[in-house]
Amino acid sequence: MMTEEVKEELEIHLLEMVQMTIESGDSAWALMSISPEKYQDYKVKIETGDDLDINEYGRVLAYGVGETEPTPEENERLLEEFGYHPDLNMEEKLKKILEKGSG
Amino acid sequence: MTSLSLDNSSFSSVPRVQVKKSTFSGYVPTSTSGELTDRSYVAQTSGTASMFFEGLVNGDIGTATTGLLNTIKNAGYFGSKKIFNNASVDNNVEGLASAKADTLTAGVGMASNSFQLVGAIASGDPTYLMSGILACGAYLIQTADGLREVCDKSKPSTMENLEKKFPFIGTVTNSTFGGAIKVAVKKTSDLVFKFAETAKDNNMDAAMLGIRAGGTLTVGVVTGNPLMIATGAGLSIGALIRAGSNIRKKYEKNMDVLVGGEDTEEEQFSGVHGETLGGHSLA
Repeated sequence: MMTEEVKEELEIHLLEMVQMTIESGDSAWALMSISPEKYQDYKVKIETGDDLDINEYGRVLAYGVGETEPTPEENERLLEEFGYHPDLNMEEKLKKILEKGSG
Repeated sequence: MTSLSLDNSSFSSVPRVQVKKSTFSGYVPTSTSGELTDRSYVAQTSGTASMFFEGLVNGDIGTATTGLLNTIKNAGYFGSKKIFNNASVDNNVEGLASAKADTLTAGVGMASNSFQLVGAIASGDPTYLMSGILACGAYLIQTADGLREVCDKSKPSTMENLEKKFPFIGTVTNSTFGGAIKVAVKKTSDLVFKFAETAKDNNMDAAMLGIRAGGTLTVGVVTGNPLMIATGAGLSIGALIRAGSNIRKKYEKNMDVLVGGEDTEEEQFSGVHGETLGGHSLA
C-alpha cells in the first residue's frame, strides 16, 4: 500500500555532472538530480548529440557558466551542499580501471 | 563570467543546450533521515489516534487506552525533539536531536509494549502475543541503534561528558577494577550496538512494524472496520517511511566512509535539507 506521496518521500535520485555548450556558445557545467524514471531517456537523448532542454529531465542543483567544470572551491561547496565529490565519479573510475587493465 | 549558482531559476530560462559530457556521480536522496523519521511519526500518530477512536466507538477500553498511550508517545517525539534541540549548543545538529528523541520514544514504546506483552502471555491470546513480540523486537532494535547513533554523534562522547561533570567516574574507571568493568561494558555494548546496526541496515525494525500494521489492516478490511483500516494504513505508511529513513541512514554512513569527512552526515547534507532540493524523515 505505497501511495504516490510515500513513494516520492522515499525516492533517491541520481547525481549527474553535465558539461555542455549553451545557446550563446559559452561552455557551462551543471550538477543535476535526475529521477531513475527519466534517467534512461536522458542518457539515450544525449547520445544523439542533439540539443535538448535539460530541465525536462531533472533538476539543476547548481551550475557554472563560462567554465567547463567546477573549480576546487566550487567542488567543496557541491560536496557540502549535495554530497557530490569528483572522486565519486564512478564512470571515470571505471574507465581508469579498465584502461589500467588493458595496459 | 563564471558563476556558481545554487538557484536553478536562472538556468531554467536557458532553453536548449548541447551536452558534451555527462557523468554519473552518485546518488542524492530527496529527504534527510531526520525528516523521514519525523514523517514516520506523523503517520504513526494518525494510526494510533484512529486506534483510540476505534476503542471509543466500540466501547473497548483496552484498545482505546492502548491507542491513547501510543498517540501520546508518538506525538511526544516532536516535543522531546524540540526540547533536545533547545537543550544545548551541541544539540543544534538536526540529526542529533532527532536521534535522541527517536531513541527516547522507542525506549518508551519498548517499555509500554513489554507490559502489553506480559498481558498477552497471561491471557494466552496469540494475536496480541505476536503483535507484542513484533513491537518489542522493533523498538529494542530502534532503542539500541538510537543509543549507538547518539554516542557516535555526540562530541565529546557521552562518557567524556559524564567524566567531566562527575570526576569520581574517571577515578573509578581508571582503577584496575573499574578499568576491567569499563572494558567489559564496552565489549558488551559494542556487541549490542553492532547487532542493532546490522538489524537497522537490513530494515528489520521497519519490517516487524510493517507486519504488525499489515495484520491490523487485513483484519480491518476483512471485518469491514474503517477505523481499524485507518489504524493499519497509518501504521503501515509509518513503517514504510521508517524503512526509507533506514535506507537514507545507510546511504549517509556509506557517503561518510567514501568521502572521509569529519562532519556529521546531517551537516554534510544541510544544503539538500534546507535549500535547493526542498524535500527533506511511528506506534
